[in-house]
Amino acid sequence: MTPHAKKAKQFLADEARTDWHNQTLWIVRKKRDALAAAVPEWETLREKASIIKENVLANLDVYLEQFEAAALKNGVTVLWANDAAAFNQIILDIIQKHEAKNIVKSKSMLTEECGLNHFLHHKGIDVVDTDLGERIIQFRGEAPSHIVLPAIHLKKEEIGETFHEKLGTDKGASDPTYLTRAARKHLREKFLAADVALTGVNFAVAETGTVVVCTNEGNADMGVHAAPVQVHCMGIEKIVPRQEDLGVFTRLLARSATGQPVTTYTSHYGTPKPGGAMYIVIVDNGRSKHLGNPKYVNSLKCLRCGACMNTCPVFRRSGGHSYGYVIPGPIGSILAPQRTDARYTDLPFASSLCGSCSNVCPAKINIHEQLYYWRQDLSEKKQTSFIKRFSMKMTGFVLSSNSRYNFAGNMARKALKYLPHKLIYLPINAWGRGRELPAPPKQSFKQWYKNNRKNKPQ
Amino acid sequence: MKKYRIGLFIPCYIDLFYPQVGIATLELLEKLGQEVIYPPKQTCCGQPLANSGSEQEAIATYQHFVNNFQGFDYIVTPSGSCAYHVRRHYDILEQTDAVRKVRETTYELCEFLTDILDVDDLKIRFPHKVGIHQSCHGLRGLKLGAPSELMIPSFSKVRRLLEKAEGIELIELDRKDECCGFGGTFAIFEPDVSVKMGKDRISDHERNGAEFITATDTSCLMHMEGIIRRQKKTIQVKHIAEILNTNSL
Amino acid sequence: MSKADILQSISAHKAAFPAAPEIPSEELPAISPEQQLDLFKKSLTTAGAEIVELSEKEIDDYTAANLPGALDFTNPEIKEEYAVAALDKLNKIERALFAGRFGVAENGAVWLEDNNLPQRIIPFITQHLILKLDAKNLCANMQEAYKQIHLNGLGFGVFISGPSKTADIEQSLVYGAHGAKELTVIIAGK
Repeated sequence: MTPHAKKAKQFLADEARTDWHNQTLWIVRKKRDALAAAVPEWETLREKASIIKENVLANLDVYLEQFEAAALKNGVTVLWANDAAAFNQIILDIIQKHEAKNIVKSKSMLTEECGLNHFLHHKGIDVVDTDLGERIIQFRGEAPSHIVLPAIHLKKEEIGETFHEKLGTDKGASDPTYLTRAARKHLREKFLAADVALTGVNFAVAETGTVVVCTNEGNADMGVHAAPVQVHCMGIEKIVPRQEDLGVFTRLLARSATGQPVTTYTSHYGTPKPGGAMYIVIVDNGRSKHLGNPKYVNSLKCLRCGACMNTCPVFRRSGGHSYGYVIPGPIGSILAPQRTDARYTDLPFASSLCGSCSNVCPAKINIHEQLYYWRQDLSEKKQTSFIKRFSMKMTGFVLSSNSRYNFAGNMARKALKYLPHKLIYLPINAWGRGRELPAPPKQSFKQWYKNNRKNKPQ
Repeated sequence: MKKYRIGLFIPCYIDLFYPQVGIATLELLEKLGQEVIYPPKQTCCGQPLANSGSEQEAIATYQHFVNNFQGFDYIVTPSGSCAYHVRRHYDILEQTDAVRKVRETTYELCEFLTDILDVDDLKIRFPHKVGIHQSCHGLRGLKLGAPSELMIPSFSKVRRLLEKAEGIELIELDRKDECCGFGGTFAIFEPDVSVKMGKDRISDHERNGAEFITATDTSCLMHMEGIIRRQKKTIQVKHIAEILNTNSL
Repeated sequence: MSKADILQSISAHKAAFPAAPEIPSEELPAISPEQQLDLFKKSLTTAGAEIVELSEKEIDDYTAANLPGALDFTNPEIKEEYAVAALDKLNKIERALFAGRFGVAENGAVWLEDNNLPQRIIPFITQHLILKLDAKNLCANMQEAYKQIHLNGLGFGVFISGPSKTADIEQSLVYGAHGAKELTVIIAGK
């Protein structure tokens, strides 16, 4: 079994919990549907978003330089990082330069991708994640299981237990309002003491040098405005050319992500606060080399909304942790193999290729087609198992010839007919776990046709 | 009705395990006055290989398919998934006139009936409660209907063919087009998620009172039937060709 | 140097698209001012805000009676006082009132920017946020909204739609995650 299949099996062992996870995310999908349906120009907006991103990706170097120039004019320090190591070092340097002790961070998948928290921890610096869901999993030492709903794999009782241990809430208390209030109090102290605030970036406007961050909780703003130093971390693909393009993306983002017409806060950071410092760190980390690949370049249009996870019938039943990559689900399964890491080669196969992901994607990324392309590329690079490749070679040999096909088909039907049930359903038969094989008919269609339509001209 | 010369493509699992679906397809097209020929040397469209990442190993099978289906007006198959595969993924072959023609003229059965023959009332009597399983490659790939994710006017070629049947009651599902979890080799490589998806799909049909689950694809039905039989449930599966062929034309 | 490396890598891997596509221009369905106001109120209610519709001269009486202790940041003296206040003092703000520039009908968002704010943190750190808005200052959607603002050279600006919220615990909606626990929008010009 593949690593994903193994972890999915573990997740599915608790069927009631799987059903809860499935249904909860399905409700988010349905909210998305209702909100999208209320916008008559929804499909046009998706098309526009896709075209704008295409324009961005085709002119990315020009836009990045334009963005940097505008940000410099705004009094912002702009730093560039080739890869995760360079990025982490830049953040460490900023922290040390400002002699900062207390670091708060709002949600940023980029910092997860680069392993920033882990890196800083080993340098003796602990970052406080301030998004409630992220704080919960940080307390528990877990990774996010969903990019927008990081703690969706947990039940409130488990969170209550964690908060009891870490924040001293009442033993056994699990009321979401009670727990949220406790987190508010705890994190407000962290905000007020913060020296440096880190954020991710949803959009970076090339013509104005502005970065835009969307949250519901207000944690990005609490950190950014409380700390003297604000640091915004963005992948190179976060650029939008013009201010007006934000109109298209802000209409799509929250509707797709959580089924809200907009996030509570859509914050636009242009200049440092009086007496403060503002940094923008632009990170490549392997993105640029996929620009030139027509099969995969569209993956760089991703807005990180998570809609593909909510709609994915596999994700909903296997949980985000089953993917083993920082970004799980359909989009993660086409981003992970770009890292050319053998750990992720099973992910493009963790899909039934139903195509629902591509249809909900606000940037119209052809996710399911890219999954298919990755399957081809990984198997060409011999990164799938030998047994799988050998059996595929044999299958190809059988299916490309009529006589070999007929022979194999007859054998299969005879085997099903005459072999004892126990032998057919050996543990090696993955089909037989939970499913019967079809009852073998007396004759194949091919034989029937020969017997019943033999006078037909060929 | 215009008469065409049709190459009948019967996918491998229908040929081997569900011949009745092939027979129903053939008889229905014949009743509609079409000249239907089953090229006897056909095997498979090659999708099982390609979906497993072995597109290169499938090229000989693709070529075999193209060779077998030369010279027809249309190639019709009772499988949305196979039709989609030929149309969408035979792009890796050298695009000769023959390849292009085969790709353009390969049709899933319901699509052929509605788009080419323009029929919707097949004078069927099927007095049962029926749930339509929207097979993904037919729905989202061939666009046989409006998938629930897209904000486009609602339509369904499958429903259009079924709703005029006498006595039929088409039930509504809680999740109208969720995947059943077959997914080709996905069913083997991810058996636990695959079976769970199938169970959930069947429950939706049961909960909403279906006696039969029908679909354009036998592969989905084979997967769900396997679960139904293992769990000794009473709900039945029936390929749409078998329902449409109960007509009295 | 990283910047040069990144830009070099981008140009080396360019041309995945045949040509840089032109960004299409807007064509949006128009809605009437009445529809905008209705939609704005509906959106705000869904977002968890309280809405009060008053005439301009009723506002002071209303806030005195219903929102005691609210700091009115449209008052230059209060604005000046809080421009230099330390975080501890800001953290004690119970109610803060600002004048929003305009509102967005489709999502109930209200735009605030640096010149409304003595310090950027106040609309977030206050327990209860009150936004005053002229009923005439509405636009249909975010695409219209971005035509009304100028990000070029702007220090900070924010669209606020509803009180701070989270659903990170079992998807249960809770107001007051980190920002204001309550939002009241006073629509002036009844």
